[in-house]
Amino acid sequence: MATVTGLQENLAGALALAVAGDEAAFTRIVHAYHDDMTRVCFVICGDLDVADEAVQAAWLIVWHKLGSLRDPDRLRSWLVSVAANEARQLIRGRRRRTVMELAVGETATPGLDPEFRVPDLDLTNALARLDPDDRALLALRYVAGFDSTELARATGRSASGTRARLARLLDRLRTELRND
Amino acid sequence: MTDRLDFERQLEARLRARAAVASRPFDAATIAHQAVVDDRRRRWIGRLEWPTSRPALGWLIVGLLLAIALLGAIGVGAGALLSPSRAPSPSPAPASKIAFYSDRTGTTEIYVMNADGSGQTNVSHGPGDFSAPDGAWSPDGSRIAFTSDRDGNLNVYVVNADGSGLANVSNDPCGAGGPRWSPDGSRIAFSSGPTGYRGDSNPPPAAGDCGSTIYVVNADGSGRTNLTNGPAQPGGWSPDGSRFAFISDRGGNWDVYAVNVDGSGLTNLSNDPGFDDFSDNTLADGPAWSPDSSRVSFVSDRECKVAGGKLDVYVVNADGSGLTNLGNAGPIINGGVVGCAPSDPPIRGYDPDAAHVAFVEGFGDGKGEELFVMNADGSGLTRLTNNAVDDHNLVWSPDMSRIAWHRSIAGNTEIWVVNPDGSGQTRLSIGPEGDALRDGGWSPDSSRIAFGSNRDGNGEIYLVNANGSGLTNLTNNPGEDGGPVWSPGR
Repeated sequence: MATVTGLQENLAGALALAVAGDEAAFTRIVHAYHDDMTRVCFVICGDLDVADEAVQAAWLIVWHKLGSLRDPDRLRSWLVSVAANEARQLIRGRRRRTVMELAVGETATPGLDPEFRVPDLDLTNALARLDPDDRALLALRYVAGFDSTELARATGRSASGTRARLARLLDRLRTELRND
Repeated sequence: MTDRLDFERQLEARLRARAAVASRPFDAATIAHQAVVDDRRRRWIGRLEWPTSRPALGWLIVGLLLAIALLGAIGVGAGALLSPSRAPSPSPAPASKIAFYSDRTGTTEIYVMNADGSGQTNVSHGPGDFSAPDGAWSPDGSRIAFTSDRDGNLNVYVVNADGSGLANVSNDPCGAGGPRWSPDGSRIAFSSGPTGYRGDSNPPPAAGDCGSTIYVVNADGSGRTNLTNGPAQPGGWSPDGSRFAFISDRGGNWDVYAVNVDGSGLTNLSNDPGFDDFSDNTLADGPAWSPDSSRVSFVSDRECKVAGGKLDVYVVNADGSGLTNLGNAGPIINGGVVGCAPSDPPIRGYDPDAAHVAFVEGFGDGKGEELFVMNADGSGLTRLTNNAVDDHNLVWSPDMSRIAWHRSIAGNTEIWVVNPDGSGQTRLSIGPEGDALRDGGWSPDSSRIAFGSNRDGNGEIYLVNANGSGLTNLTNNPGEDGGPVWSPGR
């Protein structure tokens, strides 16, 4: 028997209220998931300001579309998926308009744990060479912790197709990061 | 050589470490409010109401006369105009009660209490929540419909207001939600399967073979009938209970449909390549049926493809004939223009019953959201607020004599009321970040307002008289209580 538990349980009421137009309830949802969404968007965008822009745009969509979500259990994955999609579209749009690519990291990401400071430079460069869709796949899998089913929902592909794509992506990164 | 699994683990750690950089303090209230404001700016929220049986103010009468003239031109009598928008309760409960949710036991469940806070009773006896608050109470106030996943997926349950007679009435392996009682309380319509999705590029996919459709069952769960036989967004019963209106993209674009409650007589009422819709952005608001069930009104962006076009309100007979463009539901107010740009999302901001008065939210001098009222034809515009803060989330009193709303100021959410002519502005409450007023908060006699508030650190339900006196914490326990919905009655 499935029951709504933990955080989702606490937010189930907030979701119903927010669907009914309750801004305070919506604020509770933002409080619970904004950080998850921002972290995923940052991996996709590589820029904090762009990530913030993507997440704010995502919240607008979420507020507008909350009524379409009936299963509170899927709230987090839906929110993160919407944010990731906004990040992908934002970065693609900017590339089209300004031929801007993600900044290739000349320095490691500020504030990063020293343990990862040097490896992050390589990772930043490797990520920058990826298509935004692939960065989104990585962010959703390894930052948001999506399983294959959730990845499939988020990307519009089959679960098996998503797994295959992820495997190819890992092979590519392993080569680029000289880790084999 | 690092094997693949080790590499994957290392990559995950590095990605998470990189992502952690983006974790910074944020102001959830500001972010949420910005989204709400942006949405309103894009949608230009308007709201029209059918008249109730007691329009008390002069300007309402003016609006009525204008509306009668308008409806007379399209063949609707004043008698229909003066009947209530929703069918009256056949046998109103002797005294109104308040349903709400609470997690005081560790699980979010449905409770019912008397209007003075006494007699708080768990009626769901397990996980439960309202997915369509306005549809929770049966018309006679004797039963409550809610959703619960206690049986493995979300389904619609009905329980008597005293907690007896709990029953799963949807029994849907695809999941179900959005219950809506028929006007006579004998049946319930609900949405089955994942709801359709509009326009965004992240649609939640269907689960298995489940499609989105609307079923109707008897109040005991028997007599299940597929009402829409295809994709459908939550809709609503005609006041006489004979038809059900909904919107669907089954034809490749969103149109308004109506169907007999036995599933026959499916009719595309709007039938245009434009985006047609009748609902607010809440599941609580149903379609805009005329009181005599003869017509449905909706909003369409069909004119947006024309230079200078705008969103308009349309009314159509329930058989699809007599489509009439009633024009924009309101004037352009201080730049609060109805969006027609390709990037704008589908407009869902109207409850466009085409007859009576409108209450709109515009933007005053670029400072903040302000409240306005006007007649349905756009005349008689009255500005109710004028300040640098945001006034929003309006809720009419049941007798249409008062309007309650939220004022967001200095990190607080205040609840105010005002008469529709702008007089009598009264602040009822000041709450930190979110006193929650919504449809269902007004008592049926329009004398009191119940609302949720976290002013004491956790969600409680408060009651206040419409004149600002008598503020009372009704729930007062460590759990999270919220979502008060009054039952029909007195």
